[in-house]
Amino acid sequence: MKDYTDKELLQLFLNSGDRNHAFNLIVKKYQEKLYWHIRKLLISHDDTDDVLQNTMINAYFGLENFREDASLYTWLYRIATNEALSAIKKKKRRMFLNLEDVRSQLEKTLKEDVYCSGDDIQIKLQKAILTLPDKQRLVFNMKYFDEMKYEDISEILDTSVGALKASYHHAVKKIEKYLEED
Amino acid sequence: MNINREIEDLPEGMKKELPFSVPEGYFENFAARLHDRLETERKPGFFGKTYRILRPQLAIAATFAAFIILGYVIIKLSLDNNKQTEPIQEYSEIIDYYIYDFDDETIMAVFTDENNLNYLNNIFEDEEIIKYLSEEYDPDYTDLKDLY
Repeated sequence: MKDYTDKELLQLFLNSGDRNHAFNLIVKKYQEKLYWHIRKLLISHDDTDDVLQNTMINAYFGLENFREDASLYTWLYRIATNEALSAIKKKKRRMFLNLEDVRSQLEKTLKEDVYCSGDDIQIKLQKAILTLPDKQRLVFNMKYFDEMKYEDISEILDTSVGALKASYHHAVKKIEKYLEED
Repeated sequence: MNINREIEDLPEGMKKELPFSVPEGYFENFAARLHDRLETERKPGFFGKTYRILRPQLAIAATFAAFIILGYVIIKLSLDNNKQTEPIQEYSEIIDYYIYDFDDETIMAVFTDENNLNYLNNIFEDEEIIKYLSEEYDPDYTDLKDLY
């Protein structure tokens, strides 16, 4: 399959008669990246699947009005991030959970979900990450696992690079502390 | 404080792999499943279609209704306020009117009319008074006679 650039994909979507085909190419290009981005926040595969579908559907209906002042990649990540954070908020509201309850709920998923498996060190790190507030968790995951540049994260989360560096620094300190104590 | 150095330090001994997996063929089938859902989203039912067509008109109607309700509530509240102040104004007018223009007879007339005390206007004879009092309290009649 030919590797299309984001610009080419956009042109194809907006100008070709077969939008479905063009959108299919966009989905194929970004589905895995977005899936793992969401999964790290929601832990559960089923929740991630729902949010990824919602992300793609929002993207489909929003592409028509997409302005090219942001890259397609950044824009899709932003939709996925917002959808994932709203899913967490909805869960909190629906189940009357506080922050601590959400954390233990996610820890439970980490233990019980059939699609969650890994060695002790991986699980331990995930548990440590779960102690962080949602936004800090997001920054840590994007920097540590996805190895994204601060500039890109800044564009996706609409936060200054300085604030992101500070956020990552605090996250690292908290995780280190958790791992030492545990 | 060297943030970058600390960032490099954390992963020591930590694997960057995630402890997560996906069902078999998940990514291969995702696009097809998404396509099916998109088709459903694009084909709303009768109510969905009607709602989409009428949505702008419904929004305008709802705005008008909101203005009418708001107007009604404001008018009703202001009318109620006027009603509440009316009696107070009436009393103050009456007081202003009568305060310098009455005498003892007017006061007596008002009290006796309103409280059914007409008997106060009757003129009693001494004998009648003494008889009334003696019936009521049974005093020594001779003492009373001395008093008068």
